[in-house]
Amino acid sequence: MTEQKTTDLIGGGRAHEKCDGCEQWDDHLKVHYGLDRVEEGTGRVLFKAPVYHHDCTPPHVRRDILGDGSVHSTAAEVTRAAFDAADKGLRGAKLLAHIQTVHEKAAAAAEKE
Amino acid sequence: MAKAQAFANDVLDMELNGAASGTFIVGSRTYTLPLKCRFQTTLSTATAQGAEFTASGGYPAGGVSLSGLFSTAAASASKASTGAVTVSNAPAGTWAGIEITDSTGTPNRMNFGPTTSLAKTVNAGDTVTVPSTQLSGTES
Repeated sequence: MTEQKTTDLIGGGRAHEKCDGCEQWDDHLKVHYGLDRVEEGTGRVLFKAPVYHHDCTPPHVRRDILGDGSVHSTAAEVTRAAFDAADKGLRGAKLLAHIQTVHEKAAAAAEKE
Repeated sequence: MAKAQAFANDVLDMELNGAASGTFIVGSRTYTLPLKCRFQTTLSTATAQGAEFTASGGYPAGGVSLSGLFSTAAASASKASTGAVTVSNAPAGTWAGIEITDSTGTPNRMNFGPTTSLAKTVNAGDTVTVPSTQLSGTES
């Protein structure tokens, strides 16, 4: 797994994080996968949870987040759209705008149900 | 005195419950389903609840429903979540930990963790996930 990230706040208030897939540091959108595991009793951290760009996210992580598709949820729909858009090369502000648009539509649809 | 395993399994099925609605009673307290997972910016303690993510973007006030996420009954006195708990289009902030509560108006607190802050920096629009199997319990 990965070592603890440090952050470098830059203009716009977005923090730089290292992607555990491509190992690049940037402020692009990412997937934070998991709780850190902590040794019971001592509180000692055994490993850190990984962070990935959407397009760098490994298949098994994607499968876990998206599930088998049998349960509809706004979160899964938005995340699936984020993976698809990132795989086509969308990053940064454009990916954020896309995610926000998909989220608004999915939330509105869920409210109608 | 040892706890019978069938009883321990029943306790876990009640405590880590994936039902969408209904109630269950422990002692004098009534718990309302679904259970929820609060994503927190500060850690909870046994006596004080940590602060949760700002209710904006894809994070709903009070947390993400755990309905359908404990679909396998407890066995061998242990039980774990069977699906990921995800916040998409997350608000910016620090992810410190989580807490499981019920859906009562003033939620009943149930479990929380970890004991050391995750200290993960989340940018607006990120995806934040608790992987399947990481919400777990063991009765001994």
